[in-house]
Amino acid sequence: MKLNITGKSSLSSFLEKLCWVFLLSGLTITVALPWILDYYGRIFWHGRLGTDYVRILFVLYPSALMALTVIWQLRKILVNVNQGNPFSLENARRVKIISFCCMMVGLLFLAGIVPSLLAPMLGLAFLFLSALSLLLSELVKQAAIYKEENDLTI
Amino acid sequence: MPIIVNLDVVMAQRKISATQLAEEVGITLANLSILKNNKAKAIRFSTLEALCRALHCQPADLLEYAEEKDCQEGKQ
Repeated sequence: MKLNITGKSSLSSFLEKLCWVFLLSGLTITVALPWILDYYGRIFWHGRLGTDYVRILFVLYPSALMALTVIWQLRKILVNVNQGNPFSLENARRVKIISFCCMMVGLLFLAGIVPSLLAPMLGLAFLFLSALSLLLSELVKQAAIYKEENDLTI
Repeated sequence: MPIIVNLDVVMAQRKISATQLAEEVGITLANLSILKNNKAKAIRFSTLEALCRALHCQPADLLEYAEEKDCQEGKQ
């Protein structure tokens, strides 16, 4: 069986639909974040979150909004890919937005607000992702320019 | 762009329609329209050769160089 990567009934169209699932579940988790964190604190930290509760929320809320933005942008990129237009300046701009969001999340986790050893590691991982996305954005931009030139060569 | 494509002039002189020319040259009507409207960024030698053959003309009949100033005056 051959797996179609792009187009109708393909991997990218499946991922596009999956983005909706992530968006809706992400939105639900974002709204329910104070209760989820409270529950998590009671179960895993034996109710000792105390003042850290607000600090963690201060990091998690912006991070959640950034994550939702990233998924939204990814969905839009996948829509363009499914329409047969992967290399466009619009997609390059969207990847740049993703890079910016990753950088913000990375900096938030590196700021030392979350009292966890894993937080700085996560921050570094997001900064790395941000740099990679920025590079990818530039590549998509260059590809879009080459494509336009090729399209206008008769 | 300082290079002007005079395709429409030559086509009018030869009394050939865009559809007919596109068919003879082997390019799509959309691409011929891009060429005619000076929207093209480049032209392949093979396309130029086919155009010259179909229109019985020289490349110089199709292409013209104009100074940037003249182009802007032409647009106004």
